Amino acid sequence: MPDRRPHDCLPLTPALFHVLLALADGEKHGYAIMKEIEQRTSGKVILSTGTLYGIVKRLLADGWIRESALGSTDRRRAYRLTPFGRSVALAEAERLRDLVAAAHVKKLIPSGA
Amino acid sequence: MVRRWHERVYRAILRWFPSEFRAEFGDEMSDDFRRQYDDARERRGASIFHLWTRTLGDFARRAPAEHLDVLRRDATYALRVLSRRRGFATIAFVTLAAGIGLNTTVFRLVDAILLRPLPLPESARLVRIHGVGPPPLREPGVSAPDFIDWRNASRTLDAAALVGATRLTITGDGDPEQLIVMTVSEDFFRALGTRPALGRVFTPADYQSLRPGRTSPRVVVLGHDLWQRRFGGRPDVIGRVVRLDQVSAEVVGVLPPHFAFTNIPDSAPADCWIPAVPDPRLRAAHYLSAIGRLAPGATLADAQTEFDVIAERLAAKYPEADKDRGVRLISLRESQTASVRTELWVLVGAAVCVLLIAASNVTNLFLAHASGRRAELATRVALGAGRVQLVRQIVTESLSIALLGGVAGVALAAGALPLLVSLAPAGVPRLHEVAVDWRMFAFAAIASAVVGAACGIAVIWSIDLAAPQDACLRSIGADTGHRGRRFRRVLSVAEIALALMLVIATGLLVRTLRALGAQELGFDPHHVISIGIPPPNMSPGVRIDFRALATFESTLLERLRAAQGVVAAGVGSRPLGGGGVELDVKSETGEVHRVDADSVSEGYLQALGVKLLAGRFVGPGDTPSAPRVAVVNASAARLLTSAPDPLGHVFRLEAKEETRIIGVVADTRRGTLEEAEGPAIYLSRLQPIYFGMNNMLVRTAADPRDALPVVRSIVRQLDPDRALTRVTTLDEQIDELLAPRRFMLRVIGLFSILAFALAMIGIYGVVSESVAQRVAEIGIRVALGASRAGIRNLFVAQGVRLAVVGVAGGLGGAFALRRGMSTLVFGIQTNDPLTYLLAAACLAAATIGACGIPAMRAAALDPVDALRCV
Repeated sequence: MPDRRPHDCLPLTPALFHVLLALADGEKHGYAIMKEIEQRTSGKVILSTGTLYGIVKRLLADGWIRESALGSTDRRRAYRLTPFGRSVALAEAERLRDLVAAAHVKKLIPSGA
Repeated sequence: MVRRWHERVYRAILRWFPSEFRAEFGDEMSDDFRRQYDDARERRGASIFHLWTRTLGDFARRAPAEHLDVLRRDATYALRVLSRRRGFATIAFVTLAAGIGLNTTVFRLVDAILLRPLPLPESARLVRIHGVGPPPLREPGVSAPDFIDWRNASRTLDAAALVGATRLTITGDGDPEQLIVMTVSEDFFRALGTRPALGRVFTPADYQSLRPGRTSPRVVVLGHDLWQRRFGGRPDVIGRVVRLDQVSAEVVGVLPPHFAFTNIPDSAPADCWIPAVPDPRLRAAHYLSAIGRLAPGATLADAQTEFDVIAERLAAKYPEADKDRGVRLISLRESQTASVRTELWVLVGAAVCVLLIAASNVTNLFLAHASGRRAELATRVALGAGRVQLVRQIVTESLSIALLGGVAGVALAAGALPLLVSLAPAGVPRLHEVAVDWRMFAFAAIASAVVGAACGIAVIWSIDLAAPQDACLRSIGADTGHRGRRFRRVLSVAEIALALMLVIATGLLVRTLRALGAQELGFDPHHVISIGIPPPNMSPGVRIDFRALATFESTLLERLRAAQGVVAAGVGSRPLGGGGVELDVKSETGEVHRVDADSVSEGYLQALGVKLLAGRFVGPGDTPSAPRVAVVNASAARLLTSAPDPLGHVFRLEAKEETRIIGVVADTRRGTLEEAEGPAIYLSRLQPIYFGMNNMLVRTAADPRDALPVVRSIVRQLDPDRALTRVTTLDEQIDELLAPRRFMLRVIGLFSILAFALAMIGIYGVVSESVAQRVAEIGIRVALGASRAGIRNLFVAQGVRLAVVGVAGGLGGAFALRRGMSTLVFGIQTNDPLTYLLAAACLAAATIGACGIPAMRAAALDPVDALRCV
């Protein structure tokens, strides 16, 4: 989808962004994605299978991720980011960074914190 | 691999998701869940419980969302396909909107009038108790003593009440006005469960001082309309004393608006209610009505069984009055709406016909459309779309159009319903309850869903998705296949048949109205106004001052005749108002005959315009001191004497007074327009036999309404307490009698025009499509030397075949269902051959005409162009 720009897709839902983040450092299958998110957030965010695969379906359809055979021994598929998906994730991360920066300027977050 | 129970449960609830989603991710999801489960088990504690609650909550949210997603995708696709074929989509949409709109309107009408419970508490328990007389006199009335015995004997009724109607003139507070008054026995309001809007209803104390059978009220409950009309809706009306037939009565209450029990058979809606105690004498006077409330737990059948036994006992005990008389209980709702039941169901039938035609048309359109899309569908199958998906896709398309049509249909119905109600003839019960409400939306939603699904399924069935490879090959010819073609022809034939049935119904109604219009009335209704002039006090038991009455009438008539423009004036019964009183008369030979008797003044028969066949009319000389005289109609003349000249012959009234025949007049319609007139006699009003007919007829040279102010001013001079009632010209009265049928004709006529047009559009479409599909074939035929006429005839012949089968089906259908029309039709048979023939010819011609246009187009094809299409 050449016409689309990453910025048009923002903002992302937290769950969706977590999935993109989980895939940022390499391809993973569904269970690994859930596990990574749970560990990274110290159990604050736990995705269930229904939500995860709803997101996966949408990401696949929109071309943000694609399948890759990991191990290819069983029926499990792994997913990795497409360049477009990566740029959307990056755009969202930048958006969040700018927000945090603004919070610093406004002294909402104490400096040095 | 043996699955553990939690996996099985997880697999089971996975079914909440759409099948595609499951096929795509189901295995992975259960795999992942198994790992989550194992993790949770290692952690112990409540982890497993948390996992389950989390997963279930997640599924409950996500599964519906996924279903919606599928639906959205299908609908988007469907709308895209439809928007690409805008013409097709528009026609299908408009057709369905009309069909569904029409049916929604008729549904709401039937629902509100026939199906909804009456707006009374626990109204399902309310019954009407009809007396059933021996044939041919099947008077449905009830006599007061019978009622008292029923009430005392019945265990299945909680409460029962006797109801009658009378007319009383209210005076004071403005012009005198004759009111229709319902006389009700003690349990009336308790049985119905009605609470007053203001004040109270009757209490047992109101009945204590009343003499049985007398209607001299001390208290009165006003109907809402009367309260608004005469008392301006003022709440201080409670406690006020009004004069009813010169008797003072206290207003104790006002009923709520649209009180559901204002009508008793053959009477206009009541204006007010007074208490009456049933008279335990007069067992043979079966003229009252009765209602009851079933005891809790008792059914109508229980009550009927009980009343059969009671009636049998009474018939044995009082053979003179009750021999062969039975009792029939029917639900009050049914009884209140019986007068319009047939008409409404005929409307339903007509509306369903239109909907079926609309649905056939749309299915036809979809089939034509699908044949063009065969290549696309085949490609999608080749690319891996499952059958289920294709089926769903097609059904989504037809459902989308049907639902859009449904939305437009509801809007149409919401507009049409008030219009229909405003056009409805007077006297349709519960009309005020007909209003737009949520049931219309529910009905339209269901109707469009059913129609949409049916169209979709019909399309799938006939394009036969089983063999996509085949389809791919055949798609070059853009053909829906044999099954599809045949199915489309069947649909066309059904459309012709249904449209023909409606056209026949319309034809029967047209001929009925013409027959009624051409009916020999026996009098001349033009330029005549009819005005009720009830005497100030007509209550039974109150002595009527006949001399004063006679003086009043003769002075009034005398002054009126002197007025400008008045041709004739007289007093008698109300024409077309049910006639006079039934009397037994004894002829010279001693036979007793029952005749309709009327007491008329001089000038009445002249004002009515009755044709005098022999002798003279009633005159001013026919006074109490003169010999008793009567004018008889032709039927009565034949009955009372066998002599060629009946003048001068005598008969006895009620076997007593000897009465001489002084004139013979033509038979006139006295009751309804349909009913042929029986023997009738007209007695002189001056010779004391008083029947309580107080209707004045005034024949004028110009507009009869102009006579009304003259009458009003003369009456005011003579007696300021006199009310003028039921003012109507005879032409208006005849119009009113024709109104129900005229209304049916308008509605059914509209339906049949719609059906006819839709059917013809459908036929045109089928033949056009068939021409389009056979362009190559036509090219080859022409190239091989076929004449243009031959090509044209090829398609016209197709039309003729459709017409023949369709017309045969329609004639058969109309004949089979003709009984539904039997109460509406008059003057002709429901299988009237001329109507059937004309309608059939009309449809056949139109069908062939509709085929003619595409046939000409086929004939005009250039073979070179045509062959290029191969």
